[in-house]
Amino acid sequence: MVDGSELHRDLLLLIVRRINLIEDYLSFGSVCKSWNSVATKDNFNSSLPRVPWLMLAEDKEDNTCRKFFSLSNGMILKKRIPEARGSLIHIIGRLPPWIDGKYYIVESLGSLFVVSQDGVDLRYVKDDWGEDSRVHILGEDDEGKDVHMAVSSHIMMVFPSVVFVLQFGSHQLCVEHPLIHQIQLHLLMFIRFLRILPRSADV
Amino acid sequence: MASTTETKQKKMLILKSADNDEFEIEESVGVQSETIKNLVEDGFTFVPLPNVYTKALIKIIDYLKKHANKTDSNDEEIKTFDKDFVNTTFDDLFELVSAANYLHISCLMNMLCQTIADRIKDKSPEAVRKIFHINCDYTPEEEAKIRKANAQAFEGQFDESLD
Repeated sequence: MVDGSELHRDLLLLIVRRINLIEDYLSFGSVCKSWNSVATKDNFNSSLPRVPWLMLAEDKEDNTCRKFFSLSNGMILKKRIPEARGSLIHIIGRLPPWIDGKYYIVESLGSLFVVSQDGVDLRYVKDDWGEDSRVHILGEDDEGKDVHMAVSSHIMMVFPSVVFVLQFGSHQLCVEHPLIHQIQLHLLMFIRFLRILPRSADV
Repeated sequence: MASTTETKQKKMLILKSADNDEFEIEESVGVQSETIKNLVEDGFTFVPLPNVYTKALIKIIDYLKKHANKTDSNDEEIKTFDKDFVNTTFDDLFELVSAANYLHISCLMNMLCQTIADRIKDKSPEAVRKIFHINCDYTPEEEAKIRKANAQAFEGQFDESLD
C-alpha cells in the first residue's frame, strides 16, 4: 500500500494550492511533517473561489476576538481582530431616485457602500475612495440557497475583495468591505449579523 | 498488435513500462505528454518509461486516446470518462499522479490533484491519514500542540468518515 506522505513535494504543492477552505488547509498541515512543510502561509491560494465567512456579533466576554461562521460547512472560526471592535453596519440613507430599484448607502467600519434590495444582478459599490465599481453576482451556494457571492471586478484588480449578498425574506442586501485583505484570511467578512438591517432601513 | 492498413499509415510509438511491457500507440495520442513530445521531436519512436508501471500506463494510454479524439460533440462523453477515471482508490491515484507528473500531462495532472484535494475536504487530520495511508510522524507532544492550536481556532465537527 502506498503512503501518502511519500508524495513528491512538487505534487503536494499542486494539491495544497487547490484547497480553498482554511480549515481544510490547517487539517492538511497537521497530517504529517511532509504535508506540513508545504502548507505554509504563503502557499495558501487566496485566488480560489470561496464562499465568504459571516462575522458574528461581538462576544461580550472577549471583544478582541470575532467569530466567523462558514456557510459552506457550518464551522465557526475564531480570529483575533482588534480593529473590528465595536463595528456595526449603519444605514445612512437612500440613493437618488434616478437609480432604479431600492438602494441604500450603508456604512461599515468607516467605508460607504451602496446596497440594493432587489434581485438585479448588477450593483454599484461605493468604496471609501469614492470610486464606483461594478459588481457581479457569481452564483448561489451549493444548495441553491438565497446566499450569493459577488466580486467587484474593479476592486478585484487591486485586491481580492469580496462582496456578499444576503437575503432575508424579500430583502436582499449586498455588503462589501476592503478591510478584508488586511487580515491573513481573505475570506473573512466584516459583517455584523444583518438581521437588523431591513428593520433599521425602515422598509 | 494487429497491423491494419490504417495503423501502418499513421506514425506509431512504442512505450515501454517500468515492468517491461510494451505498448504501441499513435504518435498523435502520445504527444499530449510533454515528455513524450520532446522525445518524439528528437526522433525517438521507442520510449522507455522507467518510472511508469504497466497498471498506470494502461490507464493513462486510455486517457490519452480518449482526449486525443476530443471534439465538440463528445464533450459529455469525455466528462463521464474523466469522472470514472478518478473514481478509484488512493493507491491508484498516487500511481497515476506520479506517472502524469513524470509524463507532463498537464490536464491530467490538474484533474488528479483536484481529485486528491477534494478528498481532503471537511475531513479531520485523522481521517485524512487513514484515507491516504499516512503514518503520523509527529511525536505525541507535537501532535497535541497542533491539535490544541486548531481546536482554539475552530468550533465545529470535522467529518471523520472515510468515503
